[in-house]
Amino acid sequence: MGAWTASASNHREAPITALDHKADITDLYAFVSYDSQQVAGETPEKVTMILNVDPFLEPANGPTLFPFDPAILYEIKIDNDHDAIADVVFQFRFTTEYRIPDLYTAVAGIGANGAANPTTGAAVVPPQITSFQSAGLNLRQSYTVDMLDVATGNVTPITGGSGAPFYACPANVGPRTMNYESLFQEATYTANGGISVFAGTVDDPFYIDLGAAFDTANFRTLRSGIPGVLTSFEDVVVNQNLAPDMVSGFAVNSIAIEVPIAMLTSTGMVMAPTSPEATIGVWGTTSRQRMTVRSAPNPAVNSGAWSQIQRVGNPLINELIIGIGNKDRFSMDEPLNDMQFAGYFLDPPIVGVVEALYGGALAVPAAPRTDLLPLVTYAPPIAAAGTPSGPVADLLRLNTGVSATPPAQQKRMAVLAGDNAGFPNGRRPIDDVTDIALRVVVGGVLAAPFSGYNADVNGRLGDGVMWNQGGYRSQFPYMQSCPSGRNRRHLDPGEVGAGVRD
Amino acid sequence: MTFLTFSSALSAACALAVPITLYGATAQAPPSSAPAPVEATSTPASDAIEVARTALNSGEPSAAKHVALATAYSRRARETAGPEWYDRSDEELVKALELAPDDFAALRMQIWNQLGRHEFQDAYTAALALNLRAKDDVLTYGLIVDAAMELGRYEEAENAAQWMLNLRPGTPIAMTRVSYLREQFGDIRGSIEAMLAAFHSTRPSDAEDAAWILTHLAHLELERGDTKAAKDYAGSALILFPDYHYALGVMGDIFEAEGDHESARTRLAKRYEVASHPENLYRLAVATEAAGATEEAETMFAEFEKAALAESENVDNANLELVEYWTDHVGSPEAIARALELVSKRARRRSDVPTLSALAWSQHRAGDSKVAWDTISKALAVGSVNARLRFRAGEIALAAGHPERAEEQYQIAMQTAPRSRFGREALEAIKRLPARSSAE
Repeated sequence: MGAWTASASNHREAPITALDHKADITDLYAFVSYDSQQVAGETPEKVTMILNVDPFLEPANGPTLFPFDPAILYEIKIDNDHDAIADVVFQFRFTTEYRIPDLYTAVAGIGANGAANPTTGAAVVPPQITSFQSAGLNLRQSYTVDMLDVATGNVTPITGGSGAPFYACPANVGPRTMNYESLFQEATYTANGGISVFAGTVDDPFYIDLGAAFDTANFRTLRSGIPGVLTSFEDVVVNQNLAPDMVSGFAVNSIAIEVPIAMLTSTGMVMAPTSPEATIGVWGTTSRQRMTVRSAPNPAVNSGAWSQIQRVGNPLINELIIGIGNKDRFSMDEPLNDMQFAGYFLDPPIVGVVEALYGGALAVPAAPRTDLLPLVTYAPPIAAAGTPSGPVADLLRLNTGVSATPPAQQKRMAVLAGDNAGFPNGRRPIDDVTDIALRVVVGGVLAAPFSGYNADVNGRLGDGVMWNQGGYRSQFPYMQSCPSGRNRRHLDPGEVGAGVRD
Repeated sequence: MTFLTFSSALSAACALAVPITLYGATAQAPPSSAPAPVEATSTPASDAIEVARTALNSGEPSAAKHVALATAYSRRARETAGPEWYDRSDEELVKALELAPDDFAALRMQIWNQLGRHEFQDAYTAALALNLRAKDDVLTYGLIVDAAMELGRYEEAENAAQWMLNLRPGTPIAMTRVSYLREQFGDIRGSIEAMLAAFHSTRPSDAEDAAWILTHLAHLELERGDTKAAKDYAGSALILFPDYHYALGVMGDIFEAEGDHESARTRLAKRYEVASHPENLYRLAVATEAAGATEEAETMFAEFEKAALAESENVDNANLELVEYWTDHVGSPEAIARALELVSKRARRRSDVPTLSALAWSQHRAGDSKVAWDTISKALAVGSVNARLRFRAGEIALAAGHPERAEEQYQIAMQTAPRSRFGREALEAIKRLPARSSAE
């Protein structure tokens, strides 16, 4: 027997993005910003939104590293009037330059002075890369950020105070070549309007026993003796994994933006959590232009209108709920049209799969699963009572009036553990969306009580991976540094820090 | 089966292929590297039938094997215009569904057969339901497009075709439908472009698919009055697939347009021999009459009328030809009344352009040109620039008291196909229009 889950983060969840890695969105996060000085109950001021793309980047890989794709339009969209149509859109476009075309690698560097030809003394290897102006930063990406007001069509460029371009932080090749930390800091920009932006290759913040998940839910048997079920003790473990985080040691490309809440709500103000206007819906998209003309040896030329490749709202819908014969249409369509997938929302096939795997020993709630509607409509407990529900749509709904939880008090099970500043009220990097999804969708904890429900089983479903091995920052952009390519490590089952191997 | 019924039989068979030489939009003979002509005893569908039967007779039966045979039978239906092949196909699908009641491919094939038998409303409903199960399945969208087009639901058809392109850009099954939609929306050049793209993506071994596409290209060139280019395409289709009934029909139309009625008769007679449906007999009768063999033509018309009436209540029928026969050939008040009644009944089920056009013409011939103008305006709103449609619209507009509208329609007919019969008649009609006063 075993609990079932698929990756609740969208790593390669649809056929079309299995073929278009660069456009594959892995995760979307949206939460009221916090920092290490956060006080409980502090009035929210800003929201951070993070769009991660291009999964399972191996930091040791080279020589061209992992640039963002200049042919992709990356967008974060916000609905603030509950009609599942974007009202505010942040658009990100990247440009790549190669500063040393004859050099075989994207980055090179050593020491403070570089390395010279021993005979002639001519400089051969540049000094260690410490900034975006360092000579050894051969592949350098800059990007633009625009804020689109959909109603008026106005586009406001987001710029830094100095007018200098925003640069994307490259992957962490290793300590000889670069001082990644200094690049990371430099890549964290304060822009006009109280906005902060970051883009770059970082540690993938998602965590899951992925191999077990895709081995038809063959989860580890921990102390409960039941695969995929944690004990009450295990369930409160912090900063430790009881099973291998198979995303450990991998990187991902991250786009992060922190915006004053007043720029996002329909009222232009920070609203109380009891106000319908406090709740917004967020989703991320990647798009390519419709036409590509390839005429070797010239580079391909893209033109025409943008065509959406993928979108992500909640961390589990396309991955866990939508059947594989519908994933591409789901990825390419608008949230407004999600009623066409309502059958999946109200009766997720995965529930039946898990029930079968457990041989009937795990009671599951019967369809229709109206308990799942708050994930796809504006409804309590996320939105205030009286908020128009809007159409059925996969949006990550965030009540911007709810104060952020101080980092030391954050709970990985978020709302299920009484921490209302986490998933499904938005999503923070720390939130254990895998376990939350297991318990909510399969275990039916929001549908309880129902016949056979057992809080110690239904409410303790989990993969045993409780946190991101790499950790997190406690301030914008919240992403941890990219593992060093030279010294990176992927934790395997049975290794120290990776729980059991069974 | 009329040519312009966009049979779904093209769907699953077409696959992206090594591009093959285009025979040419100009007057060029097919290049020597063209695929070998299909032997009369071996066609893509008949070969597929043999392979599928062999597979069924060896090893365990499976739904997939029955679906493969069903698909081959349906393809044979299009090769031969023989609807009995759909019955055989359906028998195999029943067996497939007995083995696997929910088999997606079998259910999809059933819809394909429904389209082939002109059960358009049932096919449309079934295709929409099937689409809910697998929204990424491009073939199902193709079935929606086909059914929606026949019903006159052009917006739904366009939406489904766009999703075909969104999900799998550039496939022949999508591009052929794009072509057909563009034609309906009045973009003949764009229609040709899309159909050429489909042709380039079709495997050389899919001789019937390629012949179908070439035939449709011939039709499109004929639409804009280029009989030379049309003849090249149709001729190429007949080389690829000898005696292909669709190509014979278009070739007959081409010769008629050129005024070579004897050659038209020959091709249409052969077509009727291969596909002995009443609508094909009607076209032959028209060509025979145009060739001067009046007595022979009258015999054919009588035979046609009898056969068409016999199947008039069937979903697959020759009612549009029957309506045209009564309004334009017989022309008596009784015949026109019968035509109006028949086409009105059809129009209650379908609002596609050919139906609306036939209805409007019948209304006009019955003396109610104002109503006819309202009816044909709905057809014109779709966008088709077909010269015959536009010429008729001009006649109706004139009779309804809208000479300016009439002139507009005649102009479009002329612009579309200046050298065609309707293009020439439109020019003559313009000359006959009352002169406008300088105050207008």
